[in-house]
This record gives sequence, structure tokens and C-alpha cells, in this order.
Amino acid sequence: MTDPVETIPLVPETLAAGANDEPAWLSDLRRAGLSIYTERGLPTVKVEAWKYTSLAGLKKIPYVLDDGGVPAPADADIAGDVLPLPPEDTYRVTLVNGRPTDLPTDLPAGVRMARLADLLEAEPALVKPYLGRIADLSDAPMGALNGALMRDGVVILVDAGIVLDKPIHLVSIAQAPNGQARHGHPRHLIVLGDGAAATIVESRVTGPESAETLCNAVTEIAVGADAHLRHLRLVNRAETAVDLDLTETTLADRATYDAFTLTLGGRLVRNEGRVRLRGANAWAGLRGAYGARDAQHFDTTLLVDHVVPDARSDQVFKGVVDAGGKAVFQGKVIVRKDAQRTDGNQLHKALLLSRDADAYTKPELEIYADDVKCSHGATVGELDENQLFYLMARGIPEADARALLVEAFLDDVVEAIPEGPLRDAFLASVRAWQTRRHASTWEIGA
Amino acid sequence: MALLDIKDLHATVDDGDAGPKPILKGISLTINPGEVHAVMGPNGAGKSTLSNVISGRPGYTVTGGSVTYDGVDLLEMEADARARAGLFLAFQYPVEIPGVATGTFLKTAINARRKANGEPEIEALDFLKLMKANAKKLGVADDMLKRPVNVGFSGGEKKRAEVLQMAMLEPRLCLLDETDSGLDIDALKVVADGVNALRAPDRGMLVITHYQRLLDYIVPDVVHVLADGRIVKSGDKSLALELESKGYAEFTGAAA
Ligand SMILES: Nc1ncnc2c1ncn2[C@@H]1O[C@H](COP(=O)(O)OP(=O)(O)OP(=O)(O)O)[C@@H](O)[C@H]1O
Ligand SMILES: [Mg+2]
Repeated sequence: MTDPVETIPLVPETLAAGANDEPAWLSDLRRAGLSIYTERGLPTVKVEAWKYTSLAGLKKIPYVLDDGGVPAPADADIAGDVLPLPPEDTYRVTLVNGRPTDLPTDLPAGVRMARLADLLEAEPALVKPYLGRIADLSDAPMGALNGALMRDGVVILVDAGIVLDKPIHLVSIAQAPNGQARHGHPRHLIVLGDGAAATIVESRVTGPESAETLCNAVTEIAVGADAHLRHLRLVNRAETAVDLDLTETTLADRATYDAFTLTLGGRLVRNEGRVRLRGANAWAGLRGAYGARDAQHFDTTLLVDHVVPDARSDQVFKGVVDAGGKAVFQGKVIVRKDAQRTDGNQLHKALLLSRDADAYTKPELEIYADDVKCSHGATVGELDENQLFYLMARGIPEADARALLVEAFLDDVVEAIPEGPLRDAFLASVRAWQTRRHASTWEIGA
Repeated sequence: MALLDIKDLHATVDDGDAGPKPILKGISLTINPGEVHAVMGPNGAGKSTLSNVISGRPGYTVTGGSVTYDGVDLLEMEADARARAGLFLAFQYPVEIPGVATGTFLKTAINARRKANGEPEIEALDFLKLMKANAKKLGVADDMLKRPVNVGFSGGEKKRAEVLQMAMLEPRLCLLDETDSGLDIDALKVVADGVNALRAPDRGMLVITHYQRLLDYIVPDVVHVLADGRIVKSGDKSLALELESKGYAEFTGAAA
């Protein structure tokens, strides 16, 4: 018999016991997660959902479980990678390996932000109705592992009818000091009561001189009736980072969830977004952009589940893949038997800038209702030669002309974010990425 | 010194599996500073090919001859370098570039040239003034400048925009490939005025057209007939009139 700890890495030997004085429901949750993970193990490419994204490399890295206690780096050390949003224009929270290190003290009435660890200890009843009940992790071994190992994360509760006046900015730093690789399993919870509205922005970056990090996060989101959540994320980690993120959102009647994810940095990033449309006339927009190069592997895996009639969904992703990069887009739409008059759209466009760049697209439609409108489209192409020549014929050097076209390609989807400082911050991040890409091309050329 | 000196130019187009296809079959043409040359000829004669080869468009192979611009070998330069050296091609089919604002595009082009000349970037305000003034002259509406390059422009608007770009980039050699096609009668006059305003003792032009009407406005010094990849006849502006009445039959061997 093989040693289970060896075939199933990442599970610490001390886990089985769980934390001592936890409520029973939480221990049950951990046990359920652990049994799913031990049964399925680390997903391999033989598993359909992980066909294009291999986690085999993780086994070679001697990660230890994050135990908290890693100090937050100075703002100046991460400023270049974080979304450029003035701190005074947001409620800013810093998280290190998924654990909030500070919490805003000036939140308006009706908005509660807390550490999951604190709530589990002092007010478990507050999170019990949501934790592990929004996300269905039965088919997600990594998400299930998060359920087994979760200790901390951020909890955001917005009461019914409250409209947040400023965006919440989660600055989420992966940091493994002293050359010791770390893995962490942050668990976040966002709940908007009926008629509430909020914008939550996240910058996922890596701290200075960090060793390898594995961030296996699960976020559970519930958007109440007539509530609106805008959820904007920048993934801008370093090459030491592996990020496996699973976000599951449930929507009530007329609720909207407007998500945008821009992925520009990290060695292996999987953004798995799942939305359950459980309310009539609800809308979910899952949109984003990415730019992968130099051995970066970015995976966007989406599931939109139309449970009830009369809901709409839009998935739009555009990405650029340069030499060495690899992109995966898996988009699934389920329209349940009762979900008549569903309107579901999906579009993925990848631009390959090099012969040594790959993009895989896998659209899936499972439609059980008969009166639905569903569309999907996917293109993988190269830069348009005619456009390139047109720019060069005006004297613009080839590298600049390519950069203009790449930026135009990505900006097109970034402009899904309404005009304003948030859109500008994302556009600025795209531009900074371009500049870095440009600079490294020059180095190679020199 | 001649501004543009083309000697016995032979070029093929890469025609996919069919291999290289000869299009230009020995073209010689000299444009001196201050001169305007018109090129006329039947469809498929190689007029666009000639302007593309001069401006460095990929997809063509020069198999013989030379092209010299202001004393330097043009064929050794990339398309962008040729443009910065003062060449401008007004496209027969201007390209739409979604996502790139017309203003950003023009400013980038102007600054690329300035940089190559060791000049500082254009001031934002000066640029706006320059763009507005030229747009007004060429009847280009302000809202067109706010749109992405050529996106949603009508055929005629695209041609006006080409001449607007030309006026702003102040080239020394202007290649106009059927800039008159798609223009209504009034627009033709506006655009021709725009082109004439650029006529200068140190500037040369090669004007490709099918219609003698354009040459009433932009009066050429020399008219060439290009047929089947060769210049088969050259003359003064009266040649254009003659072609208008007789057609190209005598050059293509077809019955009139
Ligand atoms: N990419 C290409 N592949 C194959 N043939 C080509 C290609 N480009 C041009 N040709 C051919 O070369 C010949 C010359 O084309 P060109 O566009 O230069 O003609 P033109 O004189 O400008 O014609 P028009 O008056 O219709 O604009 C034509 O027979 C055309 O079909
Ligand atoms: Mg032509």
C-alpha cells in the first residue's frame, strides 16, 4: 500500500483531528472536504475539468501550510503590481496569504467586514448559513481541500438596502519568506442582502523576495434579490505563484453579478468561476482578459448554471498569448429543464503572438429547456497583417504597432468596466504589462 | 537629384500554392521634386502593386531593378522606416483598426517621425490644433476623429481621412492610390484642394486614378499608362483626355 500522504500531497498529517473546539457543523464540513480530496486526489489531466491544466508540478515543491504570522510587506514593495487606486477612494484591506491583516474602521453602517477566523471563533452562527452551502465542491477536489484546510479569509456582509459608497479593495499578497514555500487555503464570503449594492475590487500580487506560493482559494458569494455586486479582479502575481481560485456565486431574483478578471501575472493561474442563476431576471456577466507569456499558464474555467427561467448571462474573455505562454478557456452553460427563456452568451477570443504560444478553448452547452437563446463563439487568431502594415506605413515601428494592436484587443473587453477610475486602473495595468513585455522583448532582441 | 527613381523594376506577388506570380515586368519612372505624376491603366495592371512595393508592403518580392528615394536604396528599408523617411501611401482600401483611436494613432505616427528626426514629441495642444485645422480643411467631422481608425467611416470618409493623415504627416513623396474613387463630386473637389495645398517645390506625387476628372483638379506634369506590369506610354496631361475617350484597347490588345 502506498503512503496516502505521499500520493495525496498538501494534506498535513495533523489535519485529521481538525481544530479542537470547533462547532460540529464546521468539523463536518472539513471532513466532507477531506474525504472528497482524498478520494479524488490532486486532479490530473485525465480528469476532464483539468484536461489542459496539469498540477503535476506541485508535487515537486516542498510547500508547508501557511500558519499565519507572515508580516505584510511595505506598500511600496508591491505598489507597482497593485491596481492604481488611491487608498482614500476605497476601503482598503490587506491580506497576506489570504488572511486579513487590517480591516477598515470607517465602514458605513450596515456593512460588516471581518476575519473569517474571528467569526468562526466568536460568532460562528453568522457564517454558518453560507459557508460550504453556496459552493458545491463535490466535483472540485481542490475546492474541497480548501474546505478541509480553511482557517481564515475575509467576510463581507452588506445588509439589505445598503449601497456601499466606495469600492472595497482587497490587496491580496502571496508571501513566503525565508525561502520556504508555502501553501494556503483562504476562504472568503461575500453576502449582499436584498437591494444592496457593492463593488469589490481585488489585486492579487506577490510580496518581495517570496519563495514559491500556492494559493488555493474559495470564495462564496450570495447576491440577494435586487442586489448588485460588481466584482473586479487583477491577478498580477509573480512567477513563484500558483493560484487556484474557485468563486461560486448564487443570484436571487433580479440580482446582478458583474465580474471582471484581468490575469497578467503568475506561473499557473486557474480562475474558476461558477454562477448559479436561481432568481428570475437575474444577470451574470463573467468577463475578463489575460496576457500570458514566458511559461505562464492561465486557465479560465467557467460554469453558468441557469436554474430558473428568465435569467441572462454573458461570458466574454479575450486574451493575448506570447512566446512560451499557454491559455485555457473552458466555458460551460447549463440550462435546466425549467429555465425557459434563458439568454446565455459566451465568447472567447485569443490572440497568439508567437508560434510558441498555445490557447485551448472548450465551450460546453448543456441545454435541457426548449425555449432558450444561447450563443457561443471562439476564435484563436494572429495579429491582422493588414492592420500592422497600415500602422507601419504611417511610420510606427513594428514593435510599437504590435503593442498598439495588442492593447486595442485587450482594451476592448476592459471597457466592459464602466467609464471611471476603476476602468482607468485596469487599463493602466494592461499598459504596464505591455511596457514590461516590450522591455523583455528588447532584452531578447539585444 | 531625383526624388524617386525606379529602374527596370520587376516584382512578383506570393500567390499561395500557385507560387510567385510576376506582376511588375520592368517599370522605370523618375519623379523629380515638385512634380506630380499620374498613373492610369486597366484593372489588374499592377498600379496598386507598384505603390505597395514602393511603400514596402510584405507579400511581394522584388526580382529585379531598383527603387531609389532621395539617393537611398528604398528596397533595403522596412515599411516604417520608409514612412519616417517621408513616404506616404494613401491606401486604395484604408484599413479599419477597431480599438485604436484616430487621435492616438495620428499622434503616435507623428511622434515616431519626430523621434527619428531627433525632435521632441508634439505638444498635446499643438497636436489637437493641427488635427482640427486639417480636419476642417478636408471636411472631416470632429466625431470621426473620436472614432477608432477608419471604423464605421463610409468609403468617401475613409479617403478624406487618408488625405487628412497625409496633410498632418507632411511627407515628401505622396503615393495616392485611387484616392478619388468613392468620393462624390463635391468631396472630390475638397480632397483635390487638400492635395493641391500640399504641392510644393520639394515634394513629389504619384497619383493613381481611373478618372481624368481628378486630373482636372490635380493637374499632373506627366501621365503614364501602366498595362500588364509595364509603362506602355507616357505623355503630358492630354494623354489622360485621350485615354478617357479611347480606353485602353490599344495597350491591352483587346477590341475597343
Ligand atoms: N496577393 C495576391 N495574390 C494573387 N494575386 C494578386 C495578389 N495581389 C495582387 N494580385 C494580382 O496582381 C495583379 C495586379 O493587381 P493590382 O492590385 O496591382 O492591380 P491595379 O492595377 O491596382 O488594379 P485596380 O485598378 O483594379 O486597382 C492582379 O492581377 C491581381 O489579381
Ligand atoms: Mg489598385
